Amino acid sequence: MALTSPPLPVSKHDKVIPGYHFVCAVLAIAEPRGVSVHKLLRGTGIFDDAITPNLRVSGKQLIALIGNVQSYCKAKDASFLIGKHLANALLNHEFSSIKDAGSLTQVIRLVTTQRWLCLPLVSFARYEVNENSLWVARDAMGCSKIWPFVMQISLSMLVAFAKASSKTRLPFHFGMTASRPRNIEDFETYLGLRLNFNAPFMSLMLPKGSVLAPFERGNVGGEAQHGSFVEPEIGTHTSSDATLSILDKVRLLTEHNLHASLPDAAAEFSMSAATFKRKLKEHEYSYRALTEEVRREQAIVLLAMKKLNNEQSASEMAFSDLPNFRRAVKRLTGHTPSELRAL
Amino acid sequence: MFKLRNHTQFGHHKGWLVFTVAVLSLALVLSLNAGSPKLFAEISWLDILGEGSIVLLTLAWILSALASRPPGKVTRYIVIGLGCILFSASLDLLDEFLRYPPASHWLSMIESFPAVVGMLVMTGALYLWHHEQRAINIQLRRREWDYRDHGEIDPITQLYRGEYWQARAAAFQESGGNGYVAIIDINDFSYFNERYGQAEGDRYLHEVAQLLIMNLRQQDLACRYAGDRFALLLPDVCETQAYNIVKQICISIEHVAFRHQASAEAIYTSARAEVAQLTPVSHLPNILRGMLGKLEKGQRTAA
Repeated sequence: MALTSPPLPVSKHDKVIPGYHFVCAVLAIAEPRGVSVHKLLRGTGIFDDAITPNLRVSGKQLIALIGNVQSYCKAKDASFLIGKHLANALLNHEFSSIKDAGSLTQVIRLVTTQRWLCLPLVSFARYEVNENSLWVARDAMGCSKIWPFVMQISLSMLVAFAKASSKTRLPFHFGMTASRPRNIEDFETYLGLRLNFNAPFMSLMLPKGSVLAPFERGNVGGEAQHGSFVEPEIGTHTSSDATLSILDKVRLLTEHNLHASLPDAAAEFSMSAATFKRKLKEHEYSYRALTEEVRREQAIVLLAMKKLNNEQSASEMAFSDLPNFRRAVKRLTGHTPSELRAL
Repeated sequence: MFKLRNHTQFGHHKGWLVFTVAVLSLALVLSLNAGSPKLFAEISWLDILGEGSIVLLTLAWILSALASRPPGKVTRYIVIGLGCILFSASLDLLDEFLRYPPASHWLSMIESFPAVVGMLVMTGALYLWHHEQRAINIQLRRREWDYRDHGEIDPITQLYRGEYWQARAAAFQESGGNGYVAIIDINDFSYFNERYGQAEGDRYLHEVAQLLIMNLRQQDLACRYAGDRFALLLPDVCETQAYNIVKQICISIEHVAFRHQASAEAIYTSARAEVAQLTPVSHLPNILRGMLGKLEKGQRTAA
């Protein structure tokens, strides 16, 4: 029964992303910078006359579009401008309630439930690290080469959301895997000064206080404390597979069951191991690469950021013996646990 | 839509393109009239490779000069000079294929003379070019400082980017210069973009860039730092002068009545700025961080 079966996680070829604002933002920035619409849409399978609010695109199509901007648009700040433009478009339409949000938590909830509108290619894993909330970015659709560009779009959009809701610049810390770029000025202007290059993963971090504290609405008065913020409906749908990509879902599985094998994971998707492998390959990933990515992320968060000792970390990562744990950490991160703690 | 068109200059040079073809044809006609073909075995392919490359490269030089330079005296002399060299080189190449009867020896006797004349003309052209470049350097004052890298020029404002500014400021420090640096930030520019569109926003930045240039002294440098931020480098000023210059720039930005393309409605914006002293011993990245940090704080309190 097609109607009653739970929605499957979204794969790269599913045309389910409401990409109208995304495509419009790309065109609005790239076109005045000398890239024709024709060139931008070439090879994407998106047609000029189909760009209406009802447009549905696949992750693959968005990736092709962003690939075209990256190679044809010479402006170095194009990614940040696209993110800002996308944020403005969403703030004027689907996300207009962000302006009245009472705290960042509400904004985060909206962004999470509406992720296909704003973050179709990126998902975030949240960790609580001492006094901070850390979001580690994960490639949701297999962006490969355009991943840094996608992250620049996404981060500049999120900063614009935070600014629109809090009316201030929040003290975001950004981790970037790339080395210090030549156009550092653009990063500083659009994201802020707290930038950390050569980081182990793309991430953003905020003090927990900024996340939880209600926004001050100085001149509006107490009434606005509750505001007209429309809480997104949070039912069974929030963490349902419909807001996850296949890669997200596999990562979640391995996060919860670190020893899940490829056939176990394939069974979760009701697929044969061969089909599952092929599916992941379409997303430029292998099962092994995905599990190792998650474990590497966990090792770095636990050891280098939370500074937990080996026993605690090993038990968090479901390792039964320490030598095995140490070997695995060294293989995944290139550092021993004590080296990581010293970072 | 705000677009700067910048095509090649070929459209203005139809006459010179004909001249180039005429030079090649003249060489061809003269040598074909005078000579008869050599036997295949007599032809030295190595010579043809060398002399052929000279012809092709000279032709490429003529075309690139015509593509990039507007019509004028300097362009004229360059093309005439290169044309003479091309003539000699073509004759030289053709006599590899042809054998001349004794009566036509004059042709190979004179073949190198046009090249000498051409080189003399080119020398004159380069001398004029030097003068022309000095005139253009004066036009570029306040936009460019003793280093040229066209890849770094921002297409929207026609100013150099932040990276260039930092490099020049560092070089200025090294040379022992004293002065002030400033960053100017347009207030609520994202709101401007949102309300009037990206294209109008770009046009506005272009206009502000012109305004900055107008407000600076000849020895100053203006760059587009990034986004809606502009960076200034003001050598040899005292504190009050520097603050005055920057304050006056902010005032003139506030007074610009920017006309929206569609509605002709006047749009007013404001700007804020941070100024810092630059001495040979100060640490530029720290100064810059300080200024940017203050600009961000200013945004927070202004909200």
